[in-house]
Amino acid sequence: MVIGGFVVQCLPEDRVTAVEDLSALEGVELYGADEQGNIVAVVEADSSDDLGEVVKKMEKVDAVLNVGMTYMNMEDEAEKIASGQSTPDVFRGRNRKRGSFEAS
Amino acid sequence: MVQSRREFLKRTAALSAASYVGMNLPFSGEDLAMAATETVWHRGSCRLCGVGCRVELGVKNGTPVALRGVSQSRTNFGYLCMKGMHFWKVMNHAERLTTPLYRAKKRDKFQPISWDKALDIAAEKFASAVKEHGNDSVAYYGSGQALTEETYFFQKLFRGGLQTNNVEGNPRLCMASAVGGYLTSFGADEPIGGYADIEKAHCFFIIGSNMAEAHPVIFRRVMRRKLDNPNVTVINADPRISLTSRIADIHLQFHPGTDLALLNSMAHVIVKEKLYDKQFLADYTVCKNGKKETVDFAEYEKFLAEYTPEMAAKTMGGKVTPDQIREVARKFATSKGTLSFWTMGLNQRKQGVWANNLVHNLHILTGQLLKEGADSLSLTGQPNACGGVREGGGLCHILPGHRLVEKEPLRNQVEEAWGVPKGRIPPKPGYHTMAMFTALNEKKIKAMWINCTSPVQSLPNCNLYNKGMAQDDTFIVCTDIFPTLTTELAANLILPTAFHFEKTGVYGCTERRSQITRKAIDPPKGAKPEVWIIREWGKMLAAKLKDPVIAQCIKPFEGLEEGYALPKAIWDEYSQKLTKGRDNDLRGATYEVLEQMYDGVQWPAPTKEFALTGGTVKKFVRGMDPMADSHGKNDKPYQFYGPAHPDNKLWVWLRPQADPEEIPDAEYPFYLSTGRIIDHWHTMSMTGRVKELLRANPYSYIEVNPTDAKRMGIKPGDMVEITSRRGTNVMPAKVYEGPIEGMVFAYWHDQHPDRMINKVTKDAYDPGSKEPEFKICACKIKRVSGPKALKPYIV
Repeated sequence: MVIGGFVVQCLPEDRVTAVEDLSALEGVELYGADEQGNIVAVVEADSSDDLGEVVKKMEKVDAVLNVGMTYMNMEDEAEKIASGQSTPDVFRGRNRKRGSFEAS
Repeated sequence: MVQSRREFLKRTAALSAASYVGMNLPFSGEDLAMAATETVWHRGSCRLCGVGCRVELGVKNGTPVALRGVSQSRTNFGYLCMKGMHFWKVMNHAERLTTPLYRAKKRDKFQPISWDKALDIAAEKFASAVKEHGNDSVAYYGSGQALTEETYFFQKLFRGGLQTNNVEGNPRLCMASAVGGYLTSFGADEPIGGYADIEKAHCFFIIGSNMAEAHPVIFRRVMRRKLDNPNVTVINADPRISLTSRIADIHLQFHPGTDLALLNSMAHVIVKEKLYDKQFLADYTVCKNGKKETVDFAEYEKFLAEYTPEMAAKTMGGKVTPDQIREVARKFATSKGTLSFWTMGLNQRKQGVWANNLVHNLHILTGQLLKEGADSLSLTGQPNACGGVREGGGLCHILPGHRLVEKEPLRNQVEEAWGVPKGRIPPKPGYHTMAMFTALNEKKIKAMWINCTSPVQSLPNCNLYNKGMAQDDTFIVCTDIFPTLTTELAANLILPTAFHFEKTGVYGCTERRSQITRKAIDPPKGAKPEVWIIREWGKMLAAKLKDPVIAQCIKPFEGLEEGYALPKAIWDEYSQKLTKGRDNDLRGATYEVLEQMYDGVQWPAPTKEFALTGGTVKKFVRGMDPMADSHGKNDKPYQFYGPAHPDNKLWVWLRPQADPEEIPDAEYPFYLSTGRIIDHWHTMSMTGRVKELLRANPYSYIEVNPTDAKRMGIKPGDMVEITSRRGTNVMPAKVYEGPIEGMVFAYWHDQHPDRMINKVTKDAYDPGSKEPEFKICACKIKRVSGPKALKPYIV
């Protein structure tokens, strides 16, 4: 379980539309919106990957100008990072021939 | 009240977000039954750019599990970018270096060795280099990411102990021209104002900076200001349309390197239309044509005569109209507060200092300085380029406290503070960065310490310098937390270090603000804080060289616990003895004070009482800056007491348009420029290991203007070869209305040998600041194939 806190910004006149569209997204829960166009949102997802996908969807909402993250809790993933299970899949230069990053 | 942990965390998240915008929710922190007994929050700074955002790291059972912004902080008001939100994930990362590694020859495999053995080897190699080849055969190359305590202690040991000024750091590659600009225009390094001007500004002039990606949290403040006040004008001047341009009312797009003409032309309009502040100019300024020649304002006007908007528009490539230049000049001059931002687009240039001077000229002419909402503000790239390297003595020509090496009385002050004999610090500045790596190529440097940076990837024209780093004539120690291209190619000895929040120390960000981060968790077993490494190495050096003065350099720090007491003692020595009476006076900013503040202290802050107010918001202003009062020469409201201008004036410079070192020709018809992307940091050794960040931008691409792409038969995703006189890259094309026609752009983070763009960039540098011209060179491009499946690459 990963939980993120966000301030989403929209133009004040777009607030109602933005709130409607954001509420329709799965995993997004809105806690409030003010007259300046600030919307407080919490996203819950199974993993940080999934959280990232939800944020992308929020950013694509027409009325949304900016999705600002203010808090993230991912204690379940901390263990995976330490054990190497959360390491990206990349080429490992370390095990390759040394000359690979020399002059070309 | 019964709550599930899930509900507790969600409400905590909501409260955190709501607190940033002052929104009241129907529940409060006190209502949250599951009090913060499980997660302990530790305040500190973000690690990944120069903004200085304050964060709190949530630690549960000794493991970092969460991060949140600090809403009371005047840098970020609680906001963080995604990169910042993820930086802590490198802390417990499975690939952290945890044991010293050694190889006698650089083609050998590394073998793990003990700390005792490692420090002994390092001491032996440096001692024998000094004995056999002299003091200047050793060098330190540090980082704007090292803590101030680390940079200060390293340079103390090199200058006071090993008697060499071969002390440099990667800020030479990013901030040196800004330093040169501030010193020559205002007489003192670092900005007069700070971020607090954003919310008061009426006109933003953003030039040579993609702050939306490189400084996203500050950009957010600019955006908020603009959204709340539609009459605020945002002007963006850049050869490339970037995410920053999205909020611009006016975007001026021009050929790289022609902006000196733009800036002089804006001055031309301001002078011709008499939009300058006559009284301000009379009271506080002189005009300079070269350091020794003072000229009158009429002479300056004469110099500007040729920079008509028509001439400048033509020089800039024809996309900007003369009327746009007039409009921009008028808005700049007449707004109630104009705030300029720039970064590497001006600094990483052969004319970097001049470009900085010309922005400062506009502020001086119009009096858009020293008042609310007005400033000429260079954004820093790294979290401690200002605090550690510019202020702490991390460059070859400067000692701690903004003292020049070449001035004997200033050297003597430092020697006295350190208790070392007079004359111990050599009078000659050491090698600047490009000279240092040239000396390495020439085998003049026999032992080098590279701390927290990866020059194999980050130097311009890196193929040339990597040959020197790879040869066995120079013994190289690298201190770092992960393997980098530099540890793999250049190091004989790798020493694993503690990371941010695993040690204690101070970072000084863009706006003269020093902020502490206290140790929150232990480093991985086997990794050590740099301050411990320096001290233990120093002890062995003193013994091997039989030099009591080296021992004297570390004596005040003997026996202190390395997690807190040791860095505190180093900070105390630096702040109390070395900044006393200097323009960056930090005596009030003790650890005790810094720990009380949400967002640190802005210098000058000579006393604790003043530091506890937050320090100096505006330099040089009587009533705001205690040094303007204590060092004032008359009763005028502004006092320019900076060390570089004995006349206590601001200087308006006559600086002509001048070409970059390399401009496109028939053989290399394109401009190449490089920069950052939002998800990555520098050489990606950290952000490339965080999957959320790597996935967002797994490898570099080359941005090609659609008109050029059509002409060259390049389609989106096609593999494109980029070649300059120095090297070649191959990477996918992004066909995009970003760069101006005739220009391509790549980001520089990618470690893959085919996509390491610094093989292509040019190593010409500014003659004053010695900062290389990463931002402009000539190249040719060629489609080599259709799209190819690529995999990201991390060493």
